[in-house]
Amino acid sequence: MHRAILFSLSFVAVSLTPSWGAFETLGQSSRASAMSDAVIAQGEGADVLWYNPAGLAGEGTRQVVVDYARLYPGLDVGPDINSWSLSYVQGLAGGDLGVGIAGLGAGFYTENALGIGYGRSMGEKLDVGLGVRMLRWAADGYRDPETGVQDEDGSGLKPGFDLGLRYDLLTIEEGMLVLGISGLHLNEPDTPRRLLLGVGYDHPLYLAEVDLELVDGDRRVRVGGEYKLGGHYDLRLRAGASGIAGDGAAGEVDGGIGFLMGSLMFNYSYHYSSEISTGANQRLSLGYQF
Amino acid sequence: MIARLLLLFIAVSALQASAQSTFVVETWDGISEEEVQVDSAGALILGNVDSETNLALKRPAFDHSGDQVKVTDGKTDKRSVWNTLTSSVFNFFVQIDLDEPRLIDRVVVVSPDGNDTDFMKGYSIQTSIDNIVFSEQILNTRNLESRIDTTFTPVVARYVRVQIKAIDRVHDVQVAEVEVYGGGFLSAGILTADVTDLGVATPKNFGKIRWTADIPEGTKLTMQFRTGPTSSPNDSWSDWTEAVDENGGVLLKLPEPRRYFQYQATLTTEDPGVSPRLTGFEMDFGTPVADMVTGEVVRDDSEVAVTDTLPNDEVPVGVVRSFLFNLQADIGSGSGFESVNLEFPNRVQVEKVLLDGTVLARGSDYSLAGDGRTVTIRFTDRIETDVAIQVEFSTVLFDEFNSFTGSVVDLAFPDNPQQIEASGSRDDALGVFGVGLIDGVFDKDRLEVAPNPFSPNGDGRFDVVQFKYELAKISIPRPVTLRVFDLTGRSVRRIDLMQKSGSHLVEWDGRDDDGDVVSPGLYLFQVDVDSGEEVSFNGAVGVSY
Repeated sequence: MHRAILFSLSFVAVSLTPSWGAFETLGQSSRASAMSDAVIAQGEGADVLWYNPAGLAGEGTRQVVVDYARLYPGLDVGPDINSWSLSYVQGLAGGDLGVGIAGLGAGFYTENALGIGYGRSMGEKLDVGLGVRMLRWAADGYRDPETGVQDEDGSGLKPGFDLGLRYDLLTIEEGMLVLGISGLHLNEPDTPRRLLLGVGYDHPLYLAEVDLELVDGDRRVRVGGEYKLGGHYDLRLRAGASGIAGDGAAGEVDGGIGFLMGSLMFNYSYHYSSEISTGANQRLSLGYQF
Repeated sequence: MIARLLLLFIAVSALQASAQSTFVVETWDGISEEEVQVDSAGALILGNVDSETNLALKRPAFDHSGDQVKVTDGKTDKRSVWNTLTSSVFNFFVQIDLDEPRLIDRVVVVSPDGNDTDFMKGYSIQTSIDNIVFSEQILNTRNLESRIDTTFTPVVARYVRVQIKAIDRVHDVQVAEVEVYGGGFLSAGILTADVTDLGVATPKNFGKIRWTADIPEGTKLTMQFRTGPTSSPNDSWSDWTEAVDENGGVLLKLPEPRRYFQYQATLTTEDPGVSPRLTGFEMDFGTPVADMVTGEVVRDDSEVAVTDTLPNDEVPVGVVRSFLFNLQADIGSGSGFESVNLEFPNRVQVEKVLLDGTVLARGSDYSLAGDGRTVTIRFTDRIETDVAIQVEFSTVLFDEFNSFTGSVVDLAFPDNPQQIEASGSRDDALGVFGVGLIDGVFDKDRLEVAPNPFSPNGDGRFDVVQFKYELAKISIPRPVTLRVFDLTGRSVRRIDLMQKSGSHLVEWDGRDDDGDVVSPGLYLFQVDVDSGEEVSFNGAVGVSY
């Protein structure tokens, strides 16, 4: 077990470089976004595939989640920006297999990702996960309306390999303190290597988590939580905040709700940035468990 | 203040035997004003305080409880004292505000006339620059003198505090006067030079102005100028120009030709230990290009259907309109000119140029150069007789008052153009008023971002993205910031600008603040305008390569 932790840490402790595919850091889950994506230790559901493949372990059921977001709706100039994802998870060979596709569309510019992940429990306390994803971006070449000069279309295709773990550190009263580590795009120097480290506390009535994210040399701290109101629809209230330290300092706050209607899961998140006055991002997801 | 200028050395050297000369001041010897003086090398410096001058005299003084006290009024009689009225006076103090930082090294505390018992038995002399942090210069806890006269190492301070540090439980403490002495330079001084008569009856055309100076850190030297037709400044003279601190050959827009000229030097320092030094001054002047060149700018509605009923010196803000720049050149004894330089408040499109009502042919009769805000009209044939020039142009104006300027140039002396003066029809003839329509400073409908996406790959095609926008009703340059973010909200590039009303174009080369080309992707930009109200606009721009 300890060797597995050391292996994971050494594998993700690599230099961080400039990247493309940054849309992935916007998140692909309404539940996670409502908690400022502070879910590395406590992610759940099919869309945890995009955060920490170890979170797939123990899902035990088949689940499909579709997620849609309208990003920065108040822009004065430029295309509408939309983000979406479709994620699926089911048990396989003692673990859980997740697959998903995600994309960002903005008129002349698109990014897409195809992801596959597998998570499995290694004993009572440790979950590990592996992931593979393929990223593609494409942009239409600009055409000068006056001269008719057309720029070339641009595109790129890169694979990414992910590794994650979750470890139950200790039980405190009725809750569990959980450690999560996730390294995304670890193989490719030109894609955003993201190192995420999270510590969360999962209590029957609430959960809270603090994550540290390192990407492109920036450090972002994420704090999020969920209050489990329960009731007939298992209503949950979520909130979070994140901030970037350093020269490009910025802050964001998030909030949202989630509830169940039988096998249907509904999540909503609202995202506000202190730096860019373009209106709030809003994200919706619908999941089905069967 | 009006200072008298005694020029011991004025050299007028011929640059061009026929037309161009230079007015030179190499020393200001003889100047001895309170605010400005001359050092041993003949340079103009700030006034230096005499060591016998009581810097505290007539300055405000307060005691420890904030009550004003009469210890700086110059009187030592019993009716003009600070009396503690109690013997429990430990740490009581009086404090003097010298009004500005001064170099001080001596403090004298004087008892009232005839009272040699109620003096400070112990004292502390403290000084401060900011009235927050005080430094103790002298501490004496066993004083036997009714008149305290203490010196210390010179220190820069604005506030001086005299605090009681010993009591005898029998006597009050009475202080009639606190005197502060020192030296150093005054914080500011102005020399207003005598009017300079350029020496001949013919008015002169003013050229470039230069000066040499030593400007130690914490000091500043600025110059202002004015010209006039009479030997004494009066209403016929121009206003002082704005203060100029660039000394590398400034071409000022002074009314010309004129016979008389005057300058004003303003010296300031934040450190009484140092002063700026003005060590030399030069101004080129020469034969006028024309006896007079006047102009006016008016709206031209002759070729467009306009529904408003505004007078011809008013236009709607933010609307493209046609205008006429009418020039009248009375050459007289002037040398004549080949070129007209015009400066506009916004980019213009020159439509026609007419000479005495005749439309000239571009290319054969004249050529155009410039960036749209400045336009140079170069005539093929030199203009040596009186003439009316009309320039038709179109533009958009954004200010409540939009100023136009211009000059005519004899290309034999390209560094000495002659400014165009407002015609006699109205004082503001070289301006057009903007009215109505645009309420704010920015119209989002006019924002253009192109090419989008762009490809900063160095192939020379669409390598930079241009942000074009228009600002209105910002008469002086204000801070404008362009920031570029990635989609996660991380700032990747910041460009700080100073802009005022008009059309603006800002480019982003696709590089981050470290100079590296950003990754392909979608980025957000935001332009924030600090115009007194919160104004920002934003959008998305793609990077592809």
